[in-house]
Formats: sequence, C-alpha cells, structure tokens
Amino acid sequence: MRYLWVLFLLTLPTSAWAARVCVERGTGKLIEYQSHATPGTLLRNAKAAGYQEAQVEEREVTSAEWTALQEQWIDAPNRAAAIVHAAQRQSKAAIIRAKLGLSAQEFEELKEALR
Amino acid sequence: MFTICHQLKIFYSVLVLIAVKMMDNFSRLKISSEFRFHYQSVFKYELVSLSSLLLIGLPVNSFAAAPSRTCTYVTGQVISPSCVSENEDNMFSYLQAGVDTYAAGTVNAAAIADGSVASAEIATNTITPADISGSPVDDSVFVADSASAGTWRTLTNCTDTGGNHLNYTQSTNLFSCGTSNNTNMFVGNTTRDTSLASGTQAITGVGFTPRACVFLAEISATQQASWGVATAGASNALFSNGLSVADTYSDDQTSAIYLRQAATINAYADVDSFDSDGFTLGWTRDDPGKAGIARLQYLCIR
Repeated sequence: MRYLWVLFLLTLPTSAWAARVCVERGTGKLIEYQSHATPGTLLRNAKAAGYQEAQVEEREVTSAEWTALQEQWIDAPNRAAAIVHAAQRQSKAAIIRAKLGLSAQEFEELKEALR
Repeated sequence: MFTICHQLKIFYSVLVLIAVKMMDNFSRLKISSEFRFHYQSVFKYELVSLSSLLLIGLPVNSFAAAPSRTCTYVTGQVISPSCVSENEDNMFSYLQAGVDTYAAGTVNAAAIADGSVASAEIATNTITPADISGSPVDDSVFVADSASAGTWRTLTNCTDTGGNHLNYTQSTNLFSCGTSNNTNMFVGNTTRDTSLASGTQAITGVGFTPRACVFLAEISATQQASWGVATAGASNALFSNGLSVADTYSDDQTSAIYLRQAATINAYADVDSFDSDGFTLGWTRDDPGKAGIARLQYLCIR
C-alpha cells in the first residue's frame, strides 16, 4: 500500500506538466512542441506536414528537457545563422563600399541616409 | 446599599424641585410678549442647575442594565405601594435607555415600515445570506439593474447540464460559467518549424472551444516577430518587417501569425477552425527558402 502511495505521488508532477514534443527518430530533431496537447495531436500534425508515422516520435517532456531541446534545436541554430547572416552582410557591404570608393564614415552615412 | 436606583431617585427628586421652583418664578413675573428670557437673572441659577443635572444624568441614563425586580410579591401578603413604585422605576429607567435587543421572532416584516431602517443603521455583517428574503437560486446572482431595484436573476445559459455552474473567484473578482473556476481563458505554448510546407497544425488541451485567440510569435536571434488576434470571423497580425525594409513593421489582415524572413519569404497562419479542445492553424509557406523554428504563445478566450 505504501508503494502505491509513492507511485501515486510520483505521477502527480507528470500530470501537472503535460508538455509534449514530436521529434524525428534517429536525429532527435524537434518537429513540434505543445505545452498542453492531448496525446496523439503532435503525431497527427507531423503526418499532416508530410512525415511518415515511423519517422517520428511523440513523447512527454519535463521542463528541463524542453529547455535543453530549445537550446539544441531552436536557439543555438538561430544564433549560428544570425552570425553567418551578419558576416555575409558585412562581406557584401565591404564589396559595395570598395566599388563606390567610399570611406567607412561615408559608407555609414550613406546607409543612414538610405534607411 | 446605595444602588443606581437610589441614585436615580435622588436625581429626579432634585430635578423636580428645581423645575417647580423655576415655574413658580416664571409665573410670578407675568411674562409679557417683549420679555427676554435670558436677561432675567432670577432664572439663571435654575437654568444652570437644570442643564448641569441633565448633563450629569445623561451617562447614568445611558447605562441600560436589564430590568430587575427590587421587590417580590408574596401570595396573601399586602403589597407595599413603595415596592410597586420601585419595580416600576426599574422598568421605567430601563425603557428610557432604549431596548437594544429583540428576541427572535418578535419583529416580523410587517412591523418594519418601508424606509424605517436606513442602510447606515445596519452594521457590517449584521445580515447574513440566510437573512435575505427569498432563498438564493442555484446559478443566480442578486443584482440591481435598470429593470429592477434588486432581484435574483438566473443565468439561463449557465444551466447545470454537463456539470456547469456559475462560479465566482474572489481573488480575481471574476464570474465564470463552467465546471470549474477560471475556465474563461487559457494560455499555452507551441512551436512551428516554418521550413515545413503549407499545412495544418492542430492545437489541443485548451479545455473549451475558444471564441478568440491572441498570438505572440518569434524566431529567436532574428527580426521575425508577430503579434496577432483571431476570432471566428476576422484576424489580424502586426509583424516585424525589418528583414524586408529595415526598422519597419507591417500588418496582415488575413492572418493571425505572420513571420517575415524576406519580402517574398514568409510563413503565416490563420485559425482554420475553433475546436472543442483548442483550434487548428492553417499555415502557408510562400517560399521553400523559409527557415527557422518559431515559438508561439497563445491566449484563448472562451
């Protein structure tokens, strides 16, 4: 009986946090997250997006797991893309400035004027 | 023992003596119509004495002890007149102070005239719900509106069918109709991989059929952000246009969410349907070059 109570108490936090994710099998790539979804919702969404059921997996996640998934699949890639994007812009700007024969100050003033 | 009763007797005796003397002086002067009462020094002593005694007597009279029988009458024995007057004095003094408690059932509705008791005369917590005429009806509120000075009104669209009840949460001062408190709003989060082709995304777990939703969306480390609303008949999204024209915002009146990666590279969504446990978004991706996982927050209103 005591163990049943322990089991019941252990299930409480799980019930309170019903967040679910759908990830790609093998890679673990995040496809979708929902904070309160009923089971099966994310699988249906994945299939509607063109995934085969065997390719994806839906499961519950804890808050900590979700934080880690966000960092891995959303924030870190976005930061990396932003760095690449900024570098590309700077590279393009340098080429244009050289073609125009402007100093750095003049080029900044041109950019401000075009805003 | 010198009791309050004896004190009162002495007090009233002195009071009567002064009054008699005052009336005697008054009649002897044969007052004319031009007579100025307060100029007559002969009355000043009596007036001052009378006023002082009245003021001194006030605290005594306001001390409303319950009436008690000083003398008891025994069967077969002659009743002394002084005993009768003592008992009467006890009752008289008690009634003069005012009766402040009514026994249960001694005052009925007919005995209280309309307007005879002002609201200021009813202390806080004097009246409990059980004291209000007419029992509170289930799922009803007592309201004073333009059609009534105050009556019980039942919320006809909040019947007990399906376990509904009219709920009130004191901490938020909100009324709601449902099986539990605070089911009028719901906040949740989801994501959308905007690189996915156009399609639907069902959101569940809301707990009711929303009538309107508010959406906040963004793709981190970019200038892509959106603020939108959707109802069954209309939607509108304000969004960052910074990746198309620097430092600008724009809007789209057919979408609730709009994420602009470039002028012609967008992912946007409207609510296709409001469902029994949430809603379904219909996503459009207008260019395969769209990228990034968007984080969405939604507030659904019942």
